[in-house]
Amino acid sequence: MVVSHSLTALLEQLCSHEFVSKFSVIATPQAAREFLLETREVQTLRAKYEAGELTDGQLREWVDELLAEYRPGQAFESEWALCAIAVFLERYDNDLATEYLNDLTALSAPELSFASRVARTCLENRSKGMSSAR
Amino acid sequence: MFEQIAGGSVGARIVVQTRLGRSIDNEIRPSTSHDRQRADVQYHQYRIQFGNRWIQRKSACGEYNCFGMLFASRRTGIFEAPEVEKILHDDGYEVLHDVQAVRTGDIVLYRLKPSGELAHGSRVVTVVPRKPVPDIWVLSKWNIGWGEDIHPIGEICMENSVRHWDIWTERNGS
Repeated sequence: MVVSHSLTALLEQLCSHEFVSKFSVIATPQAAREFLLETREVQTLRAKYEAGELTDGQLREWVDELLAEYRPGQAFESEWALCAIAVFLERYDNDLATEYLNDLTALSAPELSFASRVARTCLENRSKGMSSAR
Repeated sequence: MFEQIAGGSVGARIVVQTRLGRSIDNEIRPSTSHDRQRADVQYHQYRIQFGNRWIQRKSACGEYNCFGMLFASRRTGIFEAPEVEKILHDDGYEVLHDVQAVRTGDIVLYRLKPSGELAHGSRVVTVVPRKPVPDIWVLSKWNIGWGEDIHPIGEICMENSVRHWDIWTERNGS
């Protein structure tokens, strides 16, 4: 994946102990979404995406790299990173965001079930936002 | 986008019901010995960083979360806020308005500010009478895959102090 140094650092930060530690007392997807919205990491992802410094292709590649670590029956270490991407993508009505949120919501894998729940919460909030915008 | 995961394993669920017989959505998360060892490394760092006064009850484990500890005897995790609200209602829990009336066994719910979104729960394990507020210690299960600690009620790690808590009891119910 060809990415800038700062983008690599940001993506690595989402998998770091420092990032995961922020969620030690977050046990529900609703709180996770709300809490993630306020994190520096999600706000930076958003800024880079809107500035074109983070492209759809880079995000897809990075998600693929994360999922390469998936092992059925074992806890998935990067689950909070998937949650952060879901929350960051919620506000965008584009193909990538819709595909990511729908596909993650539809998963039945227990190793990623909390991320699935967060994605479902994001979809619910997105549809609320869209219906109120009409 | 998640093609490599599709067709994977399916989460285990057990029967959990409220006192009024309503079903509670729950899920037992995977937690192998390898997972526990790996999580213990992170959990240990977390305790060094935030928990120098805490008393550890249990090392890292992933099958349940804080609400599974409180309401399902650590058999499974309860992840959805509406399910917790359902239990509070059906099991006769009420908010305790007088902090001097708190007793061992009552529960503490932590919420985000300003929305009030439910984030975490713990159980009161020690109450030392004191004015104007008693010294209250609680038992928490951290994260999805970390361990359990006994800690002061207000000593939890959340950025920007975006939290408040309320104490609930079922002692006044039937």
